[in-house]
Amino acid sequence: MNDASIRFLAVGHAGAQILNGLRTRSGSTLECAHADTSPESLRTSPIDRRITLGLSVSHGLGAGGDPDIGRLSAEADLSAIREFTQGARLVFVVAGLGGGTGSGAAPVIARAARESGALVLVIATTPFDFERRRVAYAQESLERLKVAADAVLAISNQRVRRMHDDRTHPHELYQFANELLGQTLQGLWRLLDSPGLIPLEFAHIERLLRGRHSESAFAAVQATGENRAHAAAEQLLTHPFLDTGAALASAHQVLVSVAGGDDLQIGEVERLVETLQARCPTAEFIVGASIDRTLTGNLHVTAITTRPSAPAVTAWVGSGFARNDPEPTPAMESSDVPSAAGDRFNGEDFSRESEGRAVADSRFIPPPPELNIEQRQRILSRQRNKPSRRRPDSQMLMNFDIAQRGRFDNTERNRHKGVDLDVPTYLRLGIVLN
Amino acid sequence: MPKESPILVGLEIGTSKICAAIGEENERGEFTLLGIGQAKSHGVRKGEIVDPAKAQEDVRAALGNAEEQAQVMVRNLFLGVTGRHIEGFNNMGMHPVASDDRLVTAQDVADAANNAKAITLPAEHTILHTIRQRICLDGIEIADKPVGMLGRKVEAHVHVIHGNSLRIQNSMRLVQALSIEVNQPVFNGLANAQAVLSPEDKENGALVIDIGGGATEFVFQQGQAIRQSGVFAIGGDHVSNDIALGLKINIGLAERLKIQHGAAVVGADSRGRSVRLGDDDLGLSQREVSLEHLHRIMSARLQELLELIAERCSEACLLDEARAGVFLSGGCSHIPGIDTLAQRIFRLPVTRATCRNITGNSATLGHPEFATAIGIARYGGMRLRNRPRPRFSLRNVLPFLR
Repeated sequence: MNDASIRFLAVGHAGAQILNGLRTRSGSTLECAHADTSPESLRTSPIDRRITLGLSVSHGLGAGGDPDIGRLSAEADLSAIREFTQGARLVFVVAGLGGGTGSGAAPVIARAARESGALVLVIATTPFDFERRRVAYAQESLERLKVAADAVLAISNQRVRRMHDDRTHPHELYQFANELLGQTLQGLWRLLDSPGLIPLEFAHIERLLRGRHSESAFAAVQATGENRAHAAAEQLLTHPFLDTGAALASAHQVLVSVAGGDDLQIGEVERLVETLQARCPTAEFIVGASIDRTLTGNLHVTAITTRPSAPAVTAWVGSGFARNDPEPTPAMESSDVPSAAGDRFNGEDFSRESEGRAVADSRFIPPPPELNIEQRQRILSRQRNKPSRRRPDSQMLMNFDIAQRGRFDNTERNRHKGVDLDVPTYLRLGIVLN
Repeated sequence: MPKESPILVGLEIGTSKICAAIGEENERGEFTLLGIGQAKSHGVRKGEIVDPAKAQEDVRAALGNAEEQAQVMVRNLFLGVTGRHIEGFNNMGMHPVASDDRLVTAQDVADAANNAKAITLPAEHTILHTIRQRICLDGIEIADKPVGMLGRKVEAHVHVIHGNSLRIQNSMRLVQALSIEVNQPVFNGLANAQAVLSPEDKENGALVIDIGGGATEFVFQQGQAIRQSGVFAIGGDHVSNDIALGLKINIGLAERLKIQHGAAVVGADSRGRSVRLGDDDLGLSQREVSLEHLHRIMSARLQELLELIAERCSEACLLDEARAGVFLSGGCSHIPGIDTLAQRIFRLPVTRATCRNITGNSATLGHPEFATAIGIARYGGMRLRNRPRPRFSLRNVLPFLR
């Protein structure tokens, strides 16, 4: 994997802080840029490449906590963003949500990066609960990010707050949150950067994440000492990013990357993966391992989990990529999944999800028929054999009017500016319910 | 005691319920609510009648309830109408002052107002209300009437509310079939604003949004003038329908879910929570639905609705003039968080409306669902008050559709 094809883009002040943490940690030269609306923040930025957003919009005053200005600013200077993301295969967008620049500009930037063909992962923090207004902004922004990016990893400062007692210095808290994110980022980065013993390629990650939106979770942990494989597994199973292990339990595919020094033993990798596998018996595991001499004595583990995405996402986004989603497994609902952890993933009920998936196939979003090569050839050959039977005049017109109107089916159309308002708004807006 | 206080009856044929309000007004214009009756509505979709037989039964029931409570007999009433066919728009009529001395007469003003009404309406449409906004004399706004002033031309700015006359007459016939006379059809939104706005609110300028079961009316009132009004045939029914389609449940369940667990904004606390759908008699149905999805579906619909209204009102920068803010009424104004949502969209103070300046059963007045029916009756009172006749009898006032 060529360095140049992975790029890091910090949005706003908080984003720059998080990214800087990663930069100092990894030591290598990352392709970084800091995009911000505030010239002040850019001036003191630790990152060399700086992109000023929206000088024409805010006249150098920054977004002032208004996401709309952030959004407009990003849209005004989209060309600079495109220039940076051009040719990248993977773009990390790092932002602190809740402020003007982070909340407003990040979704626009993520979209632009995605449009330039890159896989876009967003790493974000959300504010504390007491920052009411900012929480609302962050929420809204997260919704947009989920649509714009391939994967969004958000850590709530409030969640980090809960891990600390009341006397903690705020600075320490932010440090800790940034640390967690930095660690995870680094884990992902190493996964792509280090030469693999059991190599994992970009394609693996792409296959895992592309079009998954919010349904992936990442975590990176490290452990040292005698029993480090076990310790690392324990850490992963209680990691806040993985919903304290719930994400693993309901995962469909798990990618585990183990990195260690010269003292890495195959037994360790085996033990680690087996411990994790015991928690998610039905998941498909992709394991990679790499050696980094500087890590001697340490064991770094990065895990990415995904679960089956909603059919809508598969149908719309996944069509361009090779994917082999296994069928939803009924075993997910069986009792050998630890029930306390097993029924929550990203806060949602999974056992219902797999059941809901069967129901969810409505005629509004027709799932593409799954055909294997044999079936396809059979259908094709059948068509080829009987060309004379085709009667163009009897060809059915495709019914475009497939939108559901439910109880308003037989009433007058409620047209307004070309849309039928009787059709549920969430369908028209393409809001994905998974 | 007033010698003769006319009994005022307002009837709203709504999508979810039919509501009749009976009240009386004294000489000072104070309105007392005597009785209110309601019945579940079966024959109405999106504010318009689709099953006259059922609707008629429901109207009879609602009027019966109200009559019983008020201990009066209803002979005639003011009928609220709504539906997406009803539209409001602003128009201006001009009249040059004809006399040589350029003295403006009352006739000039009346002619200007009449010219404002002379508009091309869609086929079958008829004017429901013409509300005078302001009178200008040679481009200068005159506080009252410019009669006696000198000028060259009089301009009357009016707001015209019109609707499909056939559909309006459909609902009128329904009432007439019960041997009850319809004094005048009244646009629901206009009536609703009369019930929920205090005189100060009107003076400051207020946007009243009545989100009912099948239709949403909005009226922007400033002083005595209506600046903007309209109807979107979207309401609580659509919210329920969206929920039913989105969560794959039946519409009754969706309705219950909306009332018990609904919210207009997706809060952080709904994330990851789920609601167990009501058990059936055997205690079987154990399906759970995500609270976040429920709120997201509702939020999308209500946000869209409010944005449509905001779009209509922002055409003339009206929202900047709404110093009293936004008033939400109708059944959907009960949805938790809808005030937050409205505040976010309109960037104005948002109030959940209650009926103002009315005495009577106070338990009823707190309910925004009854505001329209009460408002219709009040509007009727205003019409009667503003047009005194030599012989004051309800029967000979206000022929339909002047």
